[in-house]
Amino acid sequence: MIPRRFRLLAVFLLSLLLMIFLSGCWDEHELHTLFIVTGVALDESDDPEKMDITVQIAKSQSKSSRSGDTEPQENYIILLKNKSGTMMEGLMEFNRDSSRTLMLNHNQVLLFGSSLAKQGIKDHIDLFMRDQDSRMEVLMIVVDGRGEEALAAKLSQDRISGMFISRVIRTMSSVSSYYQVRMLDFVSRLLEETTSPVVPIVTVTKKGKMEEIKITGMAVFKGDKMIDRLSNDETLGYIWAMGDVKHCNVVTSTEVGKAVFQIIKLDCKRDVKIRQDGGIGVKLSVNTTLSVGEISGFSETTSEELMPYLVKIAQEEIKRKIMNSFETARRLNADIYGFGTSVYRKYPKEWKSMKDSWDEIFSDIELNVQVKAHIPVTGQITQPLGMKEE
Amino acid sequence: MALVLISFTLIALIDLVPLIRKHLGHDIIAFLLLFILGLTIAILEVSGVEIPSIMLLLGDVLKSLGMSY
Amino acid sequence: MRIDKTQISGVQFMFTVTCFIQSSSLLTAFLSEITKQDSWLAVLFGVVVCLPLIWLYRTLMVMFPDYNLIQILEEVYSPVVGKTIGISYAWFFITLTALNLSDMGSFSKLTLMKRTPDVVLIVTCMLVMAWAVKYGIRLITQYSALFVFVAFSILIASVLLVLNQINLQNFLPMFDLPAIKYVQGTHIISTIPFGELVTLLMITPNVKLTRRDTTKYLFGGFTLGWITVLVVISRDIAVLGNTLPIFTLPTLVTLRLVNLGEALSRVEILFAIMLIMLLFFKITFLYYVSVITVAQIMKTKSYRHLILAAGALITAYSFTLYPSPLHHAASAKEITPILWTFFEILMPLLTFVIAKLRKLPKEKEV
Repeated sequence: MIPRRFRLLAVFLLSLLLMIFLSGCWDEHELHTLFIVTGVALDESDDPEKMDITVQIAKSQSKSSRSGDTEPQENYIILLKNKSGTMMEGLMEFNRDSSRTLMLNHNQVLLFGSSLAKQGIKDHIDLFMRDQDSRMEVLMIVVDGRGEEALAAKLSQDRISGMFISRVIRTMSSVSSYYQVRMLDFVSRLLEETTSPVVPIVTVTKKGKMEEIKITGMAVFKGDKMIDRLSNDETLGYIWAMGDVKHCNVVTSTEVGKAVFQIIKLDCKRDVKIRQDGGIGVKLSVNTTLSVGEISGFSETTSEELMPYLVKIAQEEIKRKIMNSFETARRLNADIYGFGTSVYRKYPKEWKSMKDSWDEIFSDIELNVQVKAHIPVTGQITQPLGMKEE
Repeated sequence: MALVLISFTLIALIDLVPLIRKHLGHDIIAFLLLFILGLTIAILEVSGVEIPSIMLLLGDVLKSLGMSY
Repeated sequence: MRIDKTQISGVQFMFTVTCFIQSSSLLTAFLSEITKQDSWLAVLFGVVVCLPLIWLYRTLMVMFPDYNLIQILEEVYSPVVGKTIGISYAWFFITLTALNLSDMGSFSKLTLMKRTPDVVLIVTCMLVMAWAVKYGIRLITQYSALFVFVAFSILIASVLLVLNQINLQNFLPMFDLPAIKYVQGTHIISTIPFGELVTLLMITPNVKLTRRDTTKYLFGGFTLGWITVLVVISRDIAVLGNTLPIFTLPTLVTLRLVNLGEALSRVEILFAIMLIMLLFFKITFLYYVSVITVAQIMKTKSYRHLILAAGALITAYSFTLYPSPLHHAASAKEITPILWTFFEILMPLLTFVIAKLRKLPKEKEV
């Protein structure tokens, strides 16, 4: 038997060993040695082999803000710029040239300049997917113009534009999850081959001394190349067709009066069928619960006629917007809705022969939109001012 | 390399010596079998000699017999 | 002749079985690459195929309650032939241990500690495991119930946390893959992880149970295990959809996507906890089995003095197995199922048949 002394010594040494090695001496990540990246922008470069990489870093020192004083932007963010052939090389160069290591863990947004987006982004996102540090939930955004402008923007609402953009988009995702395109979603749609991914597009405008960043629609991709864009209006039609929408507005205006509804809930059921002639028919059944936001006009309508009329115009408006967006998609020949995948899921065998000619089939789709709206409440007042008395 | 040699020596001291003292023949043979095999592989690895992987070799054998996916 | 005199209870046995299978539920990538959205079907097929297999193991355990696998082999075939087959099993067990060890090392290196040389991690873990092995099977399996409980809690929590991202459409279309893929998928899941339960045959002497209880605990543990695997795979399919096949660690990605408000995110640490915990258990168990096997073949007096040497061998061996995780994954899909079939299915079946033909075990003379 090993004497007790030796055993105690062995236990002690083992514990020491464990303490040293398992606490990760090699892998220490101290805060003051890190640069926390809050946004990455990729742009076209004058060198055709390379691209411009801009990295936005949030400074980690906390500053006590003096009230009323607008601190200059440089105190909150650092922008690092680089020209590189690939993302990986760019990162390496950044790390080599700076005093701290770049940490991608908290990166919120990945911005693509529109000219780079038009060339194709598939090759550039490989690092983000492969590296364990960077996350699949990073938001993909296209900037109308150059991506670095968005990262350099001095906003009045937020110090760090990367965080601002991500917060805005996440707020919009509470309306519909389709407003938010994470890297995972983008990749998933790319893998579907026939689906055209869409990505929110932002515009940077100057307002006096500061800048403003607004979401101005969706960029439509064919494969990994951006081909065109949807306006905010057309985006609404797309969102509604995809279903699962909450807290959105429907604005209607007829000769009789204007009404703004708020969508409490909107669901859209999709049914694809193969037509007799081999084409595809898609039926979208929209079911929605609305509340009346505000009404004006309707002076010729009685309160009895009001409700059914409101329901009718709401339904028509929703149907109109959805059909509009679809026509835009058809014109662009971009299956943004993923109808192809729906066909694949329902008719896997037939899909094999349809896949390659999907472009033609898509432009030939018969779309049938049915909208059913319920309006349970009208708010605190029953009639708008100026409506006819019975 | 030094680390490898030291650890293997330690192992031998802790385990082999008591076995020799107690004259346990079977145990000593079993120990030496494992020990020498382990030591050889460890030294070869640390010296950078490439040891062919058994699994890959078996894989090649199976593939040549046509028994693989 | 009993090498290790410690005993484990039926319940401990059951949880050991469960733990064993659960530890493989996190490394499902090689299956999901082949059967994609139908991977859950492959799991179910695998369960069906394995039920008779588990019955076979149970029968062998019940026929020879005092013999471990090597002893069974020596009894059923001649001592010489049995020993030879036993040596191949020794290789099998040692290789299994080394493979799982390299899995643990590469996972830790990939996600947790990138710059620490993996030798350090592996050697440190092996030292702790050697300590456990020294004290016998009872200690090793003592915490199995706790591990199973923690694993299930994390599993349930993870499903609840991603409920808002589950898309049932991701399971469609079903049965769209070429038939050979289903065969391959089922084969993979039957040999890794279900078939690895053959290692239990080495601890038969330590589990003193009636016929009924053996069946009960063995199948009970198996059921808890495959349910875990099914839930994990299904959850990953539902959340990741068509991106499932591209990830090396799908469950990690699923957990990373958890986002319920600002507070509940970055829960992938749970995955790390579960994996390390379960793999630790499995490797320790396999380590123990390997040492016992060698001890049994060589008929040594005790196995304790072989532990460190075996550990050193397994550690060194684990580095030679595959030059890269890519090779490991490719081999796991194509070669391993076929190799393991010999040890897990063919040999036990043959042994059973011959034992029955020779009317073993012989009734003890009164």
